[in-house]
Amino acid sequence: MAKLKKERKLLLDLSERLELPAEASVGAAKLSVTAGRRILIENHRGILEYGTERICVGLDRGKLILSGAELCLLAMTQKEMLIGGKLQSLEWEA
Amino acid sequence: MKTADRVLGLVRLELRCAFPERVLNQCAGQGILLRDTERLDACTLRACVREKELPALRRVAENGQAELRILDQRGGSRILRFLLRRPGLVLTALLLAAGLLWSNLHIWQIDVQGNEALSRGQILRALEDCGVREGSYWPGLSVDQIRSEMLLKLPELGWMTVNVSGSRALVWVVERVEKPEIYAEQEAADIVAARTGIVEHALVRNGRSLVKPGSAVLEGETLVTGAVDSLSHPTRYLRASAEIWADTWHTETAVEPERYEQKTQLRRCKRRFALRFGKKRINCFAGSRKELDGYDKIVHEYKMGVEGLFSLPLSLTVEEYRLYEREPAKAEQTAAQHRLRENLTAAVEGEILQSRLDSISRDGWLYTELRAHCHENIARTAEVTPP
Repeated sequence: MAKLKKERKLLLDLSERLELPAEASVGAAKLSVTAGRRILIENHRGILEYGTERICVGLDRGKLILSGAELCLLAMTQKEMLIGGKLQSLEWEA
Repeated sequence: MKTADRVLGLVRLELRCAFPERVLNQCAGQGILLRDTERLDACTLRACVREKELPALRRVAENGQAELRILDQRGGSRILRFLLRRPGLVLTALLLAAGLLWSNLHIWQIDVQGNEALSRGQILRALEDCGVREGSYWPGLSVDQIRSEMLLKLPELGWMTVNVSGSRALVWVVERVEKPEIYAEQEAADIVAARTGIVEHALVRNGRSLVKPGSAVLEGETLVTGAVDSLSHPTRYLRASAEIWADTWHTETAVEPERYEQKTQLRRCKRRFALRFGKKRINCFAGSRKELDGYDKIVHEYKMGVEGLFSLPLSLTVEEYRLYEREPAKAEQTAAQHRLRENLTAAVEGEILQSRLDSISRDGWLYTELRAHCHENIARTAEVTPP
């Protein structure tokens, strides 16, 4: 586990030095929010909690908590997740 | 509902289990795309899934001990079942599609644009000789070959092209510009009088004037000569150029019958319908060979198809026959007077100072006479051969 973490850190450093996108090289999570109405999460690790006011998404390191109103899961694949609704706040727990 | 969903089929379902999130994660892991997921309560969620992913979703639900209930199913296999139950409808649709495709590969309408001197009929006849006619298979036509043949057939053409869109061929023609009359500056020429008149003033640019203001000249008389004398050299011959403004008098006469028969349209009208398929015409009435005397015939043709997109080889022809009567009418003086005045205006290169119109009837004929006093340029170039 420690070896994996070390490898991952090394890859992350390398991609930063080479100016490569980390989401492509290491598979780091990427969050895109459009007008607070559409949230695209790439490289997620599954949904942990799903409600209309709170959605909790698992990431490779930590989790993402989205709070708002009328939240709904528009589409979900193994790597990507599209959430719709009125986003009020988001919390990134490492 | 999107077209892709309509074709591939979309299922709206309800999932009930203790941990719906787990089912969602398993679905994502299995590659099942759940869309428009809606959480109803702690144990229930609704979602949409493609029809082909439904068996995989059932397996995931069984493994996750979830209860799956289908709420609605649209498109996909339902449409297929609907169509399989109605083979006649499918066959008709297929035949229509095949007919439309076949029709789109043939020319059913030919429009000609850009022609002025050449008539549409001349161009269409030449095109027919080149293989472009109604019913031609347009993918087999070569525009370059048609252009080469057309330019040989019609020497008045400068350039042409055929653009085919759907089953409509648009023929663009550019006519050859007539070469203007070119004369050599060295060629000897005199200026002669185009009309009889009294010279008012002369503007001579080249040559030697033979007339002065106030001179009376006859038609064809030399006004400016190109032969210029010299003390040291023999006579030189130039191309004379001048404007000779003179007072002229015109007399135009028009003769027409005093009485003639005029057509008067009556309200009575007959209509005949016919269908035209390609070049074949099917009359929807009896007695097509019978001529209708005393009727004016107006033909309207309505082509089947969508304007600008495609046209079908089918058209409806409506022949409208309007009954008329011949009534005796008297020739009007004003019409003849108007025609005479128009002719004079076109003939005079200057202005009409004064004019007078007279009309008299004699032996059943109406004589209209126009007398005008004009101020115009009477100079006309006449080529001469130096001795």
